[in-house]
Amino acid sequence: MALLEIKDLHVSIEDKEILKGLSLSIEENEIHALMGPNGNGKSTLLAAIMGHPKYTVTQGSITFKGKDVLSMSPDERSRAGLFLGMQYPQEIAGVTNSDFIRAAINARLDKPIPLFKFIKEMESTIAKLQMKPDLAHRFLNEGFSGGEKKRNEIVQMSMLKPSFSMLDEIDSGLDVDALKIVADAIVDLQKENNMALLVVSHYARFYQLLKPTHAHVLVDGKIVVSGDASLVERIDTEGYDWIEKEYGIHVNEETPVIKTGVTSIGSCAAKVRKGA
Amino acid sequence: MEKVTLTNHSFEKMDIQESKELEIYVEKNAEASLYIATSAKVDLKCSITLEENAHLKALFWNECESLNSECVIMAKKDAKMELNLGEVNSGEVQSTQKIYLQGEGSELQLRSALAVSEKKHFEIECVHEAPYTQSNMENYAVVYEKGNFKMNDTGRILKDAYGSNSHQSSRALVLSEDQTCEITPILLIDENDVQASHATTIGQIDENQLYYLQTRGLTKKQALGLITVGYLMPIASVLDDEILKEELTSKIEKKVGLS
Repeated sequence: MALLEIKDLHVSIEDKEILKGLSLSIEENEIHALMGPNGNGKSTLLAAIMGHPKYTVTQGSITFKGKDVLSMSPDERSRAGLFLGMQYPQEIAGVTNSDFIRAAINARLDKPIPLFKFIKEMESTIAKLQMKPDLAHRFLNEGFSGGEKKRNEIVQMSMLKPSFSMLDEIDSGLDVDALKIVADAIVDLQKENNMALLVVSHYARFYQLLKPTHAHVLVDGKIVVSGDASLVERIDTEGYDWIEKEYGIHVNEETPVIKTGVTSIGSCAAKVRKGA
Repeated sequence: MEKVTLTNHSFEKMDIQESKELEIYVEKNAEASLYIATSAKVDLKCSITLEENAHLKALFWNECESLNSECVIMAKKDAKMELNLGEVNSGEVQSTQKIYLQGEGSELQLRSALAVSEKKHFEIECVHEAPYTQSNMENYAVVYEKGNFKMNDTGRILKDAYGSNSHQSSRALVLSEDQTCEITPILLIDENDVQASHATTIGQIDENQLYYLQTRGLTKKQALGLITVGYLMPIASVLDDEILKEELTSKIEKKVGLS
């Protein structure tokens, strides 16, 4: 039995069907690259696996270690060993990184982690990701640069030690050096914990560092091609046109979405942000 | 009438469980701390005078079933008042705080941290009577259940109180459908050469923030607690007293559902 088993998954957001019968099976220790043009459902798949309340699963199943994932809340999924490194991590003022991560670790333990042990681990993880030592005491992602937020996702992943991690464009916003630091940290953690990975990225460079064992192309809500790492190279050099020709499928163009920004506490007026 | 004089380095702690009139003096040049805890049903009338260059850090911690509090504070030349109001109880409150910055260079730092699940009404006014006086008022409230929260926060700068600054911000986080929450920031300014500002936010918890914390394994209750604790927790450490800090921290954690 696979670690993660997705069968015939259909997912909608606000009555629009995004995933249209997707199946995928991932074993321990495997690194899966998930590629595909924008707007075809990559982020939706990751969000649906993690249990984002806005995505409705209308058909199909997801099991993790034999358990029915779809009946679990996002926090139960996390405690079961799933992790999602997000494309747009939230900023939360008033909550320090260390309080947050400690609470998250304690949520999966019977007895709270000893403070000293936690501090040691936090310090070494911060050092490994080459972030500033004051990270622990800063408010969660508040005022972080794009790259810092992404690195902080990997800090959280390293501390929580999931058995299956999904990374949603975690490499965007990182400069060349930071990309290497983040990739090394992911690879080390993968080896230590036999972690399985499902990685969304547009860049072959990131995949070269991670060395995926499998690669998939997601088009119009379905996986249309699966293969090994050579698929990543081919897409990097040729784009997605050949898939359209060889497999006779229409590749979705991304439709622009107008996001009504959330008015966060702490700002005086409502913000409206257009685009992603 | 109970009179208390605070000398340099004094740390006065009072536990008030019945109605009382209090008169507090902080001596010239003295630096003092004051902790007043109220419980049961209390009518409290309190006057605090800070003599020249006195510095008082005060925390009023309320655990009353019902509290009616009227407090008048007068700060003389170069005196500094740090006034902190904290409560996570589920009683009713009617509280009026008037602060008069009477002497040149006197200053008020006010912070409130309030968990509201019943009727809690606050009137706070800082009057700048002299030149170069400063006030900064920060109010944080988390409104639960059928909470009814009202905060009128006024900064008043009188004529000839030039060079003064009056700033205030009030933030309320509302966690229920049945609550009412009303914040009115007021600035009354009679002098040109001053700086003043106010900011107010009333908002619900951000669903995306909640989801983000949940994806890291925190239950919805824990996630809510962690977000709200940021509003209330700073009040626990305003006085330099580790035991008190621990006590207040655990009370706040209990209120927000983190312990």
